[in-house]
Amino acid sequence: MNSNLLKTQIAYQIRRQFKVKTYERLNLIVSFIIAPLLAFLSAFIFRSDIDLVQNQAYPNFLFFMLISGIFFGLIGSVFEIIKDRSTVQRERLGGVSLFGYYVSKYFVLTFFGFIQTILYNIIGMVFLHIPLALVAFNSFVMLLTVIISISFGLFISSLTRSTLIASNLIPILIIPQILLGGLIPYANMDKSIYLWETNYDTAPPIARIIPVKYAYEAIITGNVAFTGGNNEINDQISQIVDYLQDNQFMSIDTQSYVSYLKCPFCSKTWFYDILILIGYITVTFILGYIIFYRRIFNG
Amino acid sequence: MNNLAYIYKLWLSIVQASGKLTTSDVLLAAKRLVEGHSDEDIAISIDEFDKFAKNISLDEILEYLYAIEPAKKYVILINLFMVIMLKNISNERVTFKQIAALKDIYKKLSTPYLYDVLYLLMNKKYSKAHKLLDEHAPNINFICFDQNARSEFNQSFEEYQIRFIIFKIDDFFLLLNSHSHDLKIYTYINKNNLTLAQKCVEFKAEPYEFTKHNIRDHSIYYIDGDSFLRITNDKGVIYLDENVLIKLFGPVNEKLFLVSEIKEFDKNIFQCSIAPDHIYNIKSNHLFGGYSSRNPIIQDVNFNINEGELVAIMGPSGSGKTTLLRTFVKQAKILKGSLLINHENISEKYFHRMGYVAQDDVLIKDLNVYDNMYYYYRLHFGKKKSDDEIDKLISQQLRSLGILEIKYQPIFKNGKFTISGGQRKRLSIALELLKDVDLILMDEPTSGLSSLDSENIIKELKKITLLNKTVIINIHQPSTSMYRQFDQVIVFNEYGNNIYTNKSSEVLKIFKLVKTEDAYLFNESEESREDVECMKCDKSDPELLLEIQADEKSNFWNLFSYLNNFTVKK
Repeated sequence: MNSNLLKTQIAYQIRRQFKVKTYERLNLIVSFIIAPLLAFLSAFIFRSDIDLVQNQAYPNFLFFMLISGIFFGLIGSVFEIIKDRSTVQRERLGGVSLFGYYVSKYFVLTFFGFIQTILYNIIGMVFLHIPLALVAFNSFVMLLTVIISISFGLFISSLTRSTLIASNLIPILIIPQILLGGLIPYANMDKSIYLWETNYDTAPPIARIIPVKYAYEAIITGNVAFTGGNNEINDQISQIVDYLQDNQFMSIDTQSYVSYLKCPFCSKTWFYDILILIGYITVTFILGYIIFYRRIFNG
Repeated sequence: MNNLAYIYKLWLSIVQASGKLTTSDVLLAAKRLVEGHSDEDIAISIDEFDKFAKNISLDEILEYLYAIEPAKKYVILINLFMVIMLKNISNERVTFKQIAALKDIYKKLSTPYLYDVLYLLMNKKYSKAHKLLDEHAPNINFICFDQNARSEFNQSFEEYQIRFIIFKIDDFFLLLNSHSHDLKIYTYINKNNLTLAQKCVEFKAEPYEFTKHNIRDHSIYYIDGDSFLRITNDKGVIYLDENVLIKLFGPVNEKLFLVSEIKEFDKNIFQCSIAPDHIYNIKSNHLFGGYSSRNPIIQDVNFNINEGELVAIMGPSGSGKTTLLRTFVKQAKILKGSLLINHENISEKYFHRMGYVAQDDVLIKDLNVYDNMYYYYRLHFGKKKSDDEIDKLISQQLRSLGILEIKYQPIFKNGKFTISGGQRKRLSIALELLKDVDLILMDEPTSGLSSLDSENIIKELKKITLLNKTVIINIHQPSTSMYRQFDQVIVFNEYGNNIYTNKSSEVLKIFKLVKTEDAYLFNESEESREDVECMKCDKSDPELLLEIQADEKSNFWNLFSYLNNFTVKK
């Protein structure tokens, strides 16, 4: 297809998707209210101390922020292709690009996910007194999880024609993120989840395919890195590390934490985790598109 | 102003456009024509008539025509007919002798002849009406009216199934148009050929390469923005399309033009083009199709469909009707045999010339009607047209399908549809028309619709075929009036075997040939026996066929199968 036509199609697809998304105002308002509401609930529950430095539940807040991101992305995307399937199949005959449709869908869902992410983090910032630099970083990592879950959602939406099946698949995707995302200590779990792995001090192989594990790792280590010059935060980090160690948070090697404390920017765990997440997004986007293309093309 | 005065004005407008009659001629003729009416009705002097003729627009007259009671409309139709007849017999100024002849004609009109025609038309007895017309007025080649607006007037004419009036007279082409009422009356008057085609090739040295579609007697043709008329006469070839004609009418009010006045126009404005991959023929040879090679759903399907046909695929539930449609768009596989488009194997290059409307709604529920169409157009054609042009195009398509009033309505709001099932189907059709496809495939276009809506949808589809577009639909139980609209039927039995493919009208002929005894073999119920009794009476009423089909318990499909064998044997 002519690249100019593709660009034009993407532009109009995006405009159309925006119109569709903003058509039901009530639904739009609700989806935008849910994010700050969950943020408030989460911040309220995970505020052991009004001072962030003293707030030992801060990692929990971050973890549930990521889970919320997964939730927002999935809910926003899981019915999208099911809903549009007939239209897309019809438009395909007229030469409307499937890629253009998929990209625009991705873009628009990401945009709405971004708004929810910002709203969530603003509330977190206000209630937990999180510094702006961390809010920006946290928002970025949360947005990555939102995008990944959009990929998951579109993937499911391409696979099935039934909204019921799609709804039932949502917990299948969310629960493992909670279980294996890193908040619950792996040490307390059945050792069989380690499969061939004999080193029980690391995350089990099954957890290594869980995007929230990388996102959580990135957000925790990033929080350390980006507040490296702040003594107060460093104090808090020490507490976080203590907390993580106490809770046998094994996905992050204790040694690397110690090195973090010494030289927060020397270790790039957060950076590599973000790269992994971006890789994850790329792979799920491509796979999702292949499935979408095949399912649409084959009826 | 009384009724006749308006009619006179209408006559005057038409006849003046011909440039061959004077006002006084017309009035004189008119006065003579209306002998028997009260003096009051015709007591309008020539001067007075000229006076109000200048002041009153044709639009106002049409307004009046729309407003008058339906019972009188046919009188106007007759009078219009009279004017055309007047032209038919007069190549020069009207003489008293000619007027006397007109009077005779009028007398004839007063007799049951034309009233009978109108009565028959109103009662949808077209063949008899045509026969009567042939008998009494052999000069009339075509009768049809074009109207799409949903005014009382138009609905009334809808009942007559009339779309255009085209009278063959002599050597000029006349067009009466009213934007405000969406009324167009084309009158073509020429002894030579008149060719109607949806599109033509670029008009340069050789303009004859497009697919010709000769207008046949007693056929209904719909002419819209995508159509044009090619008129060949001794003065040269004239190409007209509706847009050009409308342009010529000017931006305000209605005027009448003679072709002779416009033929010298810049030929560039008549240029149009035909898509290089325009679909003009669809053929299948021993086609087996389905979703897995082990289990063909449709078997040994054979058909040959030409452009401009409305084809119905019929058969019991699960017989493979949808599968056949899906093989066109590669959603089902061709397992054996061939499916040819323009005599070559079907391929994706034709996809953009096809529109497939699945049984479920293909509209975006979270957009209103306008946005559905607007984005559909933009995605297919990019920035080819401005927003204003698209807006006009959308209005045109919606108007042609009689759903202009829902242009800005949401499709779905607060958990329920805000437009009816029939309107949604029409909108689906409008989307395809927007895309300007050659082949429309519709899966059960009438499912879930009321009988009235279903009939209207089929009428709309039939109208689309008049634009040289081919429409193939799946249909379960068409009513007789729907069945009559089909050009061809493809019938499947419950096992997916193609048991009958032929012109829909042929079925009736074959029915007449079936011996009662043989037919009894296939009909067991009392009701079916009664049907057979009717066949024995040699009646070819299609109701019979459809009644048999409507009865789920009857073995209609077996009968079709039998009929197929019968014709083979024969």
